Amino acid sequence: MAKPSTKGLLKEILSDDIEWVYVHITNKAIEWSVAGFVDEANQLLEQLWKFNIPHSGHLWLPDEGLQIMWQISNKQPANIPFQFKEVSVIETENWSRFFFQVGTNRTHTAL
Amino acid sequence: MVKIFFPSWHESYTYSFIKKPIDELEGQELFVKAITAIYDKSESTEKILDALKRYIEKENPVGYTYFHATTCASLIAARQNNQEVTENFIQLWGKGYSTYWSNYSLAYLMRDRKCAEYLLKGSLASVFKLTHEIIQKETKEIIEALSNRMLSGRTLVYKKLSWKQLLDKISKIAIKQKIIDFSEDILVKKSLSKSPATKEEINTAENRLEIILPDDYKKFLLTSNGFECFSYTGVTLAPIDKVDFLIKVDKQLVGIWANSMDEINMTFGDKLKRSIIIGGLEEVQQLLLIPLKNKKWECWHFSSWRPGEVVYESFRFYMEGELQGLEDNLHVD
Repeated sequence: MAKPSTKGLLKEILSDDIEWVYVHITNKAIEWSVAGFVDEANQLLEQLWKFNIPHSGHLWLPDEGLQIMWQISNKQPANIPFQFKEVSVIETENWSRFFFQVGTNRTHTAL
Repeated sequence: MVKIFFPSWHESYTYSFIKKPIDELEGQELFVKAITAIYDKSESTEKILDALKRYIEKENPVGYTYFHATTCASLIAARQNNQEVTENFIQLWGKGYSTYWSNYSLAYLMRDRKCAEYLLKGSLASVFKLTHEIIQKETKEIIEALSNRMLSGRTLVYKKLSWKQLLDKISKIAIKQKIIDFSEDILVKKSLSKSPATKEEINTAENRLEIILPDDYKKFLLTSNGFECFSYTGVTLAPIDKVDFLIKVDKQLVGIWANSMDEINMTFGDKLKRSIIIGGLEEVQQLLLIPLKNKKWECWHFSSWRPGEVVYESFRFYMEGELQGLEDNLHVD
């Protein structure tokens, strides 16, 4: 199954609930950012944010990912619509989602 | 911390192999051991990376498991500062996205500074088939479409299609894609549609329910009295004589959801109690029509696994959304 195309995204923009339109466009920016096109992703996000669509709570994971990409690349867009978090907290939480000891509910501290 | 993302392995499953050296394991046991060993340091990082590489190459994991294995390997390798190994795993991770995108959350590698440094090098641009020019063109298209949307509001994409044309298009693509196994009957007639309902049948249902059903739904029924399910997240649309208030069909479901959502969303429970179930009878997800107080209707795709409702402006919006999903899956990069 091929991943959703931009052609499909254009149809969703016309017909989907506006919150999901906002999420889908942000996810497109995430895709570009992951591929190293941070400037281009920021350009799309800045234009998206100008429409003043309320920021979606569904985007908390991408928000945290973008925060780190911006900080590492020193390329931060204007008018970011969400609060930054402590990077070490993001990383610890990210790690604990993938590695844990079977049979306990302790969170990961290794490495 | 609640492990909402990770499938927990119970000790009753792992006890027979978890203490064995990682070199002696294969298949799912190898994967489970590798992940667990990161936590309890029972194996060296080099051995764990070798194990994950062996698992990915020889066991051919698919879907979420592929995503999970390549994400773990990328995160560990990046922290080891092993450039070649890290870049190889990130490439594998990126390649999986094209096929298993629905199992992916791209943010996970971004949420780690070491991995983020590798991503910023742009090695996935060729994997995702992206160039600066393509992105510039797509940015322009996206912003133009969004501007139109904000000016004109939510619009139907296939409004020029009749119900028959829309249902035929869905049937054709769904049967071609074979997302689920279809009956011989469906394959022979090459359609997911049913015989049309009569106006009398619809009137009888409206009298029984004491409600006037929305026009778009009645036009659908006059074309096809129900519709076969064609995906794992879809529903079988019921014939009109089976359509009823959800509270009559599944009082327990309505009770549980209405009570649990009261503090978060005051209107949710009220809407659910008034909803009419038109699809997904005794299935994992349901399709509901909600009469609103302004005489308009909403259409909800409702499921406990999502959880909750996805709201469509009308039944037609839902069906067009299904077609859009089918069309997009046919897209070849």
